[in-house]
Amino acid sequence: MSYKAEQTSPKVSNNNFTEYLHNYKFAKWVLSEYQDEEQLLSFRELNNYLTFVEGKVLKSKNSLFIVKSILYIYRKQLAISNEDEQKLAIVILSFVEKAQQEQLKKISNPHAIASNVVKWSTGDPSVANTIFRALLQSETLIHSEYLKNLTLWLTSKEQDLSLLLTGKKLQLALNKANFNLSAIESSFLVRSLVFNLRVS
Amino acid sequence: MVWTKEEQDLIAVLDSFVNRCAKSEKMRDVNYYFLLHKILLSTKGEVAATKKDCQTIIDAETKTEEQELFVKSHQPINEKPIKLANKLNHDAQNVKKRASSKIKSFWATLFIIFSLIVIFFSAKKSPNLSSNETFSNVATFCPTDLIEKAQKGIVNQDKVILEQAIASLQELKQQQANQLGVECEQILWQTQYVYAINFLASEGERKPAVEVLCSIPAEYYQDKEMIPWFTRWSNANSEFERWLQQYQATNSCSAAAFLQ
Repeated sequence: MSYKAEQTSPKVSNNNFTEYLHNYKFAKWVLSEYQDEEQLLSFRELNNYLTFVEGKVLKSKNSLFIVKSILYIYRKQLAISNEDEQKLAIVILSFVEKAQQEQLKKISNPHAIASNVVKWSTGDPSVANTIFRALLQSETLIHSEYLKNLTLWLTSKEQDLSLLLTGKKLQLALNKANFNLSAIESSFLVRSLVFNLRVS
Repeated sequence: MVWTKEEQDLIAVLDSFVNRCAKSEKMRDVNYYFLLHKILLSTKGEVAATKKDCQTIIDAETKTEEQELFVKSHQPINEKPIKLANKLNHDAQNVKKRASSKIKSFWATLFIIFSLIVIFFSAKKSPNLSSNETFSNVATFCPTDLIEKAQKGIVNQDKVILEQAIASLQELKQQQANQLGVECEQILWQTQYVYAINFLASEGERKPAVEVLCSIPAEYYQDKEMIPWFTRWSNANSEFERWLQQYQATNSCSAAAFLQ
């Protein structure tokens, strides 16, 4: 690529930097026998990298590096206990592996989804696990707004009715619904239908 | 904000309907959530009316041959959901008129029983963590339940548990870029060693035992007083001795230095 082309294409150089930074930190992490948490990605670096790898299948060590980074970030932010972190690691790795193995079309970036689900579930492994299983089962309703409300509603132990879908959001979800929905999605939609009567 | 009593009743009716539809082959082509939406709009969420409409659909779904043919012939699967929903609802009402009172009362009874069962189990259900299958997928993370399982197999000398523990640990290692947490790695080696000596070799399966023992790195055998199993087995069987020499010539086996 010529100098001129580089100048007119900041996205390319940004991507190059993101990839370079990731590769550098990843290499140092591997050399530290996977122990040096200082080499894990920061929140911003993680988001940049997850945007960069959209639609790509990561190799297993790289995938592990990303999962570790996600947990490292949210361990501090959400004060996740060691036990919960272990459980989260298991459910995330399982989800990512299945999503990548099966090349699920709607789950083009399982690490990014996992990162958001951990955040919305406030690090509750039970909630995260239920959401991941629902995603793998139905593969129909994966858009961030729906996923966010569903996860937050579940995190509230199904008590926060304001998170249920109404109006156009509900309409969109209904259009995409099918018989393959998981139990929790079905429950969410049914309650949204009833709640929608209040506001309509 | 909390659910009112009427809303709770309505939810129970809808849950029951959705569960019923989910189990029906015939309803797979129908977007029954959309259908519910249309019903609720028409009944304005009135419980009895909604229940009646849902029951009508369920009655239509359950079959006498005549009903099935009728519904099928009026239900092309590639129709848009909204048309399909209206059509199904309309057809179902026609079908209901035709149905005999005996069939109706039978299905009404069945529906009530079904609803009670669904409500009972819905009330008991809470989101759980995944099955053991999911939890066996650990790697540099080393969950205590997996270690405990392996330890239980060793303490109780339980072959099945040992096999399960080894399989789980190996699966987890494979999943995590051939890496294991230190504790998991230690327990895997110990479990493999116990399994190879106490079960494989003691049952006469010495060659598979050697393969397992050779898969354990030298790190495990160091600083331990090992019984020279390879030598003992070779002395007892010349055919095994020749096989072992050949095996060591073609395979890397760091355990041999400690077991001979």
